[in-house]
Amino acid sequence: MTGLAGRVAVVEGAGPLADAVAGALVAAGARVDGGRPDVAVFAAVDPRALQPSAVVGLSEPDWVALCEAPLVAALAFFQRVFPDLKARDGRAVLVCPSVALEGAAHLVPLATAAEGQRQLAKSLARRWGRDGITVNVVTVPAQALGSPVEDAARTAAALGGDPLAAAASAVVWLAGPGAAGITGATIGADGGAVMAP
Amino acid sequence: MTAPLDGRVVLVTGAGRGIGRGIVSALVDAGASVVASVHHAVDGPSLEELPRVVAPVCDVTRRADVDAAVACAIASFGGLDAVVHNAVSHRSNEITDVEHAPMALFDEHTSVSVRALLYLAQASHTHLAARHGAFVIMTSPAGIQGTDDRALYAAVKGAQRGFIKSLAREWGPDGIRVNGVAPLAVSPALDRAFAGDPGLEARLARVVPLGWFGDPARDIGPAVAFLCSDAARYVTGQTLPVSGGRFTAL
Repeated sequence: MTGLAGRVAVVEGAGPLADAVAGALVAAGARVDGGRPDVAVFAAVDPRALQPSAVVGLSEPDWVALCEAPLVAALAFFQRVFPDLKARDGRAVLVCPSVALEGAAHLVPLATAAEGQRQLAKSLARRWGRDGITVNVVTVPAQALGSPVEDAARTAAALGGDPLAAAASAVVWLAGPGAAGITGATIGADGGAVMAP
Repeated sequence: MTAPLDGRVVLVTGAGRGIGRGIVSALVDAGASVVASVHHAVDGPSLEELPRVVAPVCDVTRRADVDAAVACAIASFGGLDAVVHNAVSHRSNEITDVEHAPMALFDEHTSVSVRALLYLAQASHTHLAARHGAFVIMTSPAGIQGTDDRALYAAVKGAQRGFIKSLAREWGPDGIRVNGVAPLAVSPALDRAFAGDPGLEARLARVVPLGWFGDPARDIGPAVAFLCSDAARYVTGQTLPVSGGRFTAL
């Protein structure tokens, strides 16, 4: 598949999710080589935030690291890529845990950060439409990212399969010509668990 | 007939002005005793003219202040049944070029809207669990649908919605309910804008199906009182838009 031939992508994040996204973009013909991006994907999830913790026991430094730092990181990333995206009718995608949509006990910092990132993305979508940039969101179950917490997004899935691969496919579609008219949307790569709203 | 919040104690942050003051008024009308925490001492005395209200000064970005506000509820009224986090940054209405927004401004938003949630949750949990209480967060339609000119505000208001849904699941077994209200209401800032442009209110109100902007005490406060009361005992993890029908896409 070469739907993204000639396009340059940047993927923020490390680990299986970012690897799956970058791999799918390359397979679709994009270059992920540090050039000026047409496609910017924020797919960073701190593995520490996937471990269960109770709000009452969290230290303030942990709260800042697990909840607030990801918000800052997403804002900084989208600020950084904006000039290039604006020059190229760019595509921005946020990939975040689906606990953003329905919450999860003992993953409060993760869900708080993720839903904050999602509303940031929606705001950017509203704002950057005038610059020809689309901004969309793909959600994946926290369990698929390695969390031991049983969130409903996993247990209620209608479909089996690999959520990371599904998320990567959704990113490729959102980055491609067929999604030019889609912005501010959230696609759940969760096997149909949440089906929100 | 007893009022729905007779004998209940509620802590309201950002109670000095606007929606916060309206919430205090509605809670008092519903029978509650209220710790109305204010950012500016000048706002306290008029609040304390209401029955069963104490109005300590509290900067919610300081943990010690938040702890003291909760302690004030225990000392003044013998317990705590509900927390209403209404305070927002004084810069929350600023139009912002998100592309160039300084991180210090984002931290200003985050410290009031997000970090204060940690302080309030940790300070209140034991008390709320003892009384099967409620935690209510004043979020915003911006935290549901985004906004093109105040993206930092939308981000922290969205973050609050993630917090609501998750903490509701985490604290459900303790018998504590966690909910949000997304209001559309006149505020001191909007009032000033209306005063400066006589046609503005009517123009803006055209997009509200009910045709007017909510009044903090009559339209927004009662929704908060409901969520604090036993009438909402099976409601948790939700955000209730109170917007005259302006926002329907939740």
